[in-house]
Amino acid sequence: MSADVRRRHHAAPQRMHGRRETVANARGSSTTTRASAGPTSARTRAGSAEPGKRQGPARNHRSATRETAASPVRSQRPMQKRITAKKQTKRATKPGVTLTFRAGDTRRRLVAVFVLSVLLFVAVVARVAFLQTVGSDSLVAAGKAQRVSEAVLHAPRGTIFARDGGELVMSVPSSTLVANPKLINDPAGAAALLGTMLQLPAEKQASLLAAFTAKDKSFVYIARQISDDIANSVMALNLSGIDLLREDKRIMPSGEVGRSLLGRTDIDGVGTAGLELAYNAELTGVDGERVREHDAKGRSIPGSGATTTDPVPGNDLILTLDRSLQFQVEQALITRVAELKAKGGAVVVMDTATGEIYAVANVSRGDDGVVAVTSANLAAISTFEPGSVAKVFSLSAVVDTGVATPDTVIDVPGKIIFDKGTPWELPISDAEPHPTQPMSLRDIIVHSSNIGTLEMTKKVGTIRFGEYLEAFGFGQKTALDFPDESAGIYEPASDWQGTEKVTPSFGYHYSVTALQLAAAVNTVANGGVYVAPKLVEATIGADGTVSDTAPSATHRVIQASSAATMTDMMTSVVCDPEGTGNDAQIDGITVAGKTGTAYKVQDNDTYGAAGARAYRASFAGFFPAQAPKVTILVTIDEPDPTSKDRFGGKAAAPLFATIATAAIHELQITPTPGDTGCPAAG
Amino acid sequence: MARASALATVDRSERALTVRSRVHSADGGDVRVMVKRTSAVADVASRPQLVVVPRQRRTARLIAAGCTVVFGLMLGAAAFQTQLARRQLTMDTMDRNIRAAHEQYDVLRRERAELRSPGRLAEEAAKLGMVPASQTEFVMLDADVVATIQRSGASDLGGEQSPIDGNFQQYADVKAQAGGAP
Repeated sequence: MSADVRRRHHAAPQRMHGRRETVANARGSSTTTRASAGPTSARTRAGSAEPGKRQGPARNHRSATRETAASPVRSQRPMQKRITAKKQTKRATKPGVTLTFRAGDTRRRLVAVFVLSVLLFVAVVARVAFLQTVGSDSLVAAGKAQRVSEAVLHAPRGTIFARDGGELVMSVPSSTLVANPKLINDPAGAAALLGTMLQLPAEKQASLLAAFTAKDKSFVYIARQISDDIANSVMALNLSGIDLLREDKRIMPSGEVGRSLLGRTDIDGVGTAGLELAYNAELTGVDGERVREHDAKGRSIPGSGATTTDPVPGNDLILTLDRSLQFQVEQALITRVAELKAKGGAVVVMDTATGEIYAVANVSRGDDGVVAVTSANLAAISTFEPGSVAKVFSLSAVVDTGVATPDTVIDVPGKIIFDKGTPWELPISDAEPHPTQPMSLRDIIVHSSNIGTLEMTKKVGTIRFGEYLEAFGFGQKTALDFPDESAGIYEPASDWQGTEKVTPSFGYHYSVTALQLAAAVNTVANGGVYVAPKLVEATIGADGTVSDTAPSATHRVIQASSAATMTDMMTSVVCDPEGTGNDAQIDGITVAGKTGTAYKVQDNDTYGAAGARAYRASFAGFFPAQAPKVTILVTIDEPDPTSKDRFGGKAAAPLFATIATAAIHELQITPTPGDTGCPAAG
Repeated sequence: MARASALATVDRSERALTVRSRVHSADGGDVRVMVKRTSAVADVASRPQLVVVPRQRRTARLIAAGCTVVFGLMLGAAAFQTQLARRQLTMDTMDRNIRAAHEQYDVLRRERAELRSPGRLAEEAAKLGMVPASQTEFVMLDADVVATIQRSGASDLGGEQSPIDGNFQQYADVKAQAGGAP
């Protein structure tokens, strides 16, 4: 191609370029007209452009592109020609300077853009694939944590009922204030305000302030199980970071009735003492769970569904306790202990035939001198030497073995020295001084003769007598298996040495609990059959099924005839004018019983000298004597030693009568036909 | 460059004159029709008459129907979702009511137990001037009187279920129905 031809080739694009430029300018400015077509116009436009600025050619290129789209004729023109024209224009503006502008390879640009787009797309796809597969767990967990809540549905702890249907212990909803220290703006102010409103002790207030300030926890208890009114008043302040929870609180709606027996739970509702501990597994339910999806406002997301595992409530206990009788027994015991200036006392009231315990009362005098119901069930925990009440078991062995009958008479001295001249030498005397005199077996129990009982029991034999005591339940825990229950202190008869071979006959050298002693006396009342004490009458399961507990275990200890004989002699103890238990008489119903006054072991491991002794005064009996229905044991710990009422017949027997009267009313006990009470009383 | 430009201008002027002479007459009066004959006139005359016919509306109808269906489905889905939400709200409300009823039930049980508490009863009785009975007196009733009372149903000596048992049964029934409910 010659130079001229090349010029003509270039000229046409130049003109066209100039025209395109003009059109482009006309769109942007009204001062430029289409008439200014041609190379001159093109030069003028190019010359007006600032050298070195790229927007001129770029704008031209864009204009050309638009024009090309508008004109099919022009679009058919090769791209290279248009670019060359632009080069020519540039060259024309700078005469003498050769500038080379390369518009670049559009194809390469497109390829580059395409490659970049593909890379970007691949990167996005790869990221999505990663998030959907390998990295999905954390995101799924995060999303789940936002919308899914897992709430523990606490199973209500079982209620403890009295036999009359009254609630002794139950769980009720209460308010608990909690805090999220990280959300508390003014820790000092909040702690002070809460301390004032909730009347928190200084230590608690300080610990709250420390927790609020540290902000290292997101959950802190402020006050648990408080009254709704106080909690609501705190919440009304709208303090940031303070929230309200509902949780069950264990309460005793009947007051302190049966407190020592029922025990207690910790603040989380776990049994720590008494029946709450003994039957903790029975009372504790199985918590449930609810998993649901919710929105930001806590509303369930429609259609999301919820998984709910219902809690299984704990079983309820129906005790054998009579709530009203329990209350009266406790009140009577408190009054009596206070009157006697005693250290404490215990009472057990049980059903003769079934062993069901109607009431168990334990009271003690506090350091402040106030007599109150104890938190511990001393009737099952505390042991003491039974004293003369134990003569019931000794003489039962005597009668049951046929060694003697109630009318068998022996000479009984008022005082003896046992094993005189041996290391075990022990002076023994009766409570009432008397010369050696003939006494029947009935006289021995009526007058509570230690020496008479000793002499009679010796005829039974030590080992045999020991076997009787074990059969009466001594030396082993009762079937209650009460927490911390004592088995008493009992040494097998084969190990007895010296005075140990005789002192058990009148109630020394072995210790018993009040429950053991009551159950043993009840054996005589129950026709010679031991029946284990029982506290739980029935349970109510989670499905509402009422299930009676198994009857108490029984075993025969003495023959029924022997029991009848003993009952007869024990009736004399109460009804005989010379009996030690006259104060146990009640109107209209005959009572059988036995008094007991035991020396207490002092701190120096002795019984102390005369005038410095401490006593345990007891009375155990049952009624109606002909067909016993209720057995009661009353024991007073350390009545005033200077008082004439320190003996069992004076300290405990009157309380027995009071409690028996209450039991007659509450349990609707009627006398057996022909029974009008003790003749003396009648 | 200038010469070449002048030559190009001359060529272009000549071509322009030629074109003008084809389109316009020499005197510039009548305009000659410049027709490029590409086919026979007879062929043009024999072409069939074309008429504008109404466009087929089947597609439009289909689209309209489709849109209606889609719109209906969306409306239905929205209504269904609304219904779901409404029912979910109802369920949430019922759950709250159940919990509140449970709490109320426990509160009422506690209040009843407190009212029946022996301590409270003794206190109230003392306020009324009542004192615990210290003595018991049994009165022998004539057998005929006892039989008459039993026949009248005024006595529970017949061994019928006592109210106490009834209380346990009521409680057990409630527990069976709602004991495990949250």
